[in-house]
Amino acid sequence: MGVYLVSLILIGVAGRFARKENSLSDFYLSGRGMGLFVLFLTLYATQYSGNTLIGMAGKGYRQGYAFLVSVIFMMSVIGAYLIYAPKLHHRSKKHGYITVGDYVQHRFGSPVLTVFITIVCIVAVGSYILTNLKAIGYIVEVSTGGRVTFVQGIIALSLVMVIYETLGGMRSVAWTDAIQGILLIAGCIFIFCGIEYQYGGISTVAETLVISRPDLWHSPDIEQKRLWLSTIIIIMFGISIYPQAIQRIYAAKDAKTLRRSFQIMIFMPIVTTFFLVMVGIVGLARFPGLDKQGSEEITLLLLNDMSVHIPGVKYFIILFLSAAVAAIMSTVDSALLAISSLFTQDIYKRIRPGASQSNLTGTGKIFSWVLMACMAYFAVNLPQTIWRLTEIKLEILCQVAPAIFLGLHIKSLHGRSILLGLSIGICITLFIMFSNSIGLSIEPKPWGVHAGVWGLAANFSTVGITSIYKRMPVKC
Amino acid sequence: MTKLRVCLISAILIIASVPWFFTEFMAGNILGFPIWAFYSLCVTILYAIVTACFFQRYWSLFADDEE
Repeated sequence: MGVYLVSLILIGVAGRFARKENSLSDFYLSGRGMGLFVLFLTLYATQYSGNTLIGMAGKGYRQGYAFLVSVIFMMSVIGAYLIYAPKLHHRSKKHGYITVGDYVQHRFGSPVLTVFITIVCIVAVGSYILTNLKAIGYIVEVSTGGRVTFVQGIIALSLVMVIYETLGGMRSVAWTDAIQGILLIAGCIFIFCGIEYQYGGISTVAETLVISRPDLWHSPDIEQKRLWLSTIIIIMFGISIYPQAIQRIYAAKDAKTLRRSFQIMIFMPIVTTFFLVMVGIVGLARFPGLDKQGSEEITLLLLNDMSVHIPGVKYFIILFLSAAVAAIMSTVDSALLAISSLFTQDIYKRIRPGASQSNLTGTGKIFSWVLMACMAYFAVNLPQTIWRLTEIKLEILCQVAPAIFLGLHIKSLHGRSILLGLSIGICITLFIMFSNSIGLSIEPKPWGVHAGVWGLAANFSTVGITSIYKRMPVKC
Repeated sequence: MTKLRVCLISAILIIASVPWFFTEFMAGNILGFPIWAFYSLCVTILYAIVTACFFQRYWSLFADDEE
């Protein structure tokens, strides 16, 4: 682990020396020259977080075959890129966008809308950092047998991430992502193959489960199916517009590189999500009756069980823990860089329009340190109000989707329609989610559909209705 | 093909991946999966193949920019 962390900092130093100029474009977008290998791996490592390795096997254990639907959750995100990435990449090259705010400002010419969307993105991505830091603390504590505590783990790894991020910016983040992505892919494939070999394959597991858990053979009921579709919508419109993903669309060397990365990415849920859900299902057959906490550790449990019979499996355990830490670090560093760029380019630059490129880059680096310190503090001492916020990040973030998906393809769309739709969408989402807190008896997921989907439906409808009936002036 | 048609085909495949028409207990399995789960996986893989082809064939259609 120590060698791995030192190598990450060395990559940060290498990224610093590879710098071509002291500009925001070079720091945040790696000079817009990312090739296929690094782009694919950084997209992959960023999309799959620590939740993938820990949470998906756990959910596979608890929900059984029904959780195989998560494979299409992740694929739908890549499908969504087809709608907006080609045009956004083209425009980013043409107009030199650095953040999602740059696109919004250029397309709609509305500072209010730009700042509003920037704040929504910062809040959503910030909460993403928070949950991942918390997960990293637990993994470090478990993997070191308590020798490194939860708090020490968070502080040490936060420090490593912020060091290599401020040294080399996107360049070092993407290079470390490449290593982390390879670890993650190798971890998923080896663990799946090892467990399948040891426990007799999918058919053998099915023979056990059809007797012990016949309920798993029931098709999900209609409410669960609606919830599936609702989750696909939230994930598709939420994850695909993560600011860190949009940064990578801008950073791609050319359209062909970006297109090929997505063509590979669309199949990655099969070797990642599918494999891990199957690990959870194998665990269910082997170790039935675990509670939620126990099921979250099912992969480790299986690997430990295997290591009794096959001594070499202890290396799988090291690989699994390394892959889990790598998955979280690659997600956090990308999110940190995205927030830093959003603050610098879309907020600080507005306050100080005359600031030089080196001044802006320096401010971004200072902001990264301050932000990471705050996030580490909150991850250790998480107030309930902030924790609640982390649960609704995607439901809030997906409200930005009309600005990107519709804004790129409908010329006549006006910023006021988007702003109104965004406001209504967020209000409806928050109202549904927090109605119980103010004494109203509204379900958190009315009719089995997420609050964010109701908000998004109202958002798209508002944009459509105001665009058609008010006949606002054409602006592009 | 128009952009709208590409989006519609993608949306139909995503909606079809949910096993809407499987409502009862079915004891049989295909390759170790319950029949409804096997159906859902097949549509999911079909979605991946179709989307990869769409990226290849219709990238320029979606990139076409007349600002």
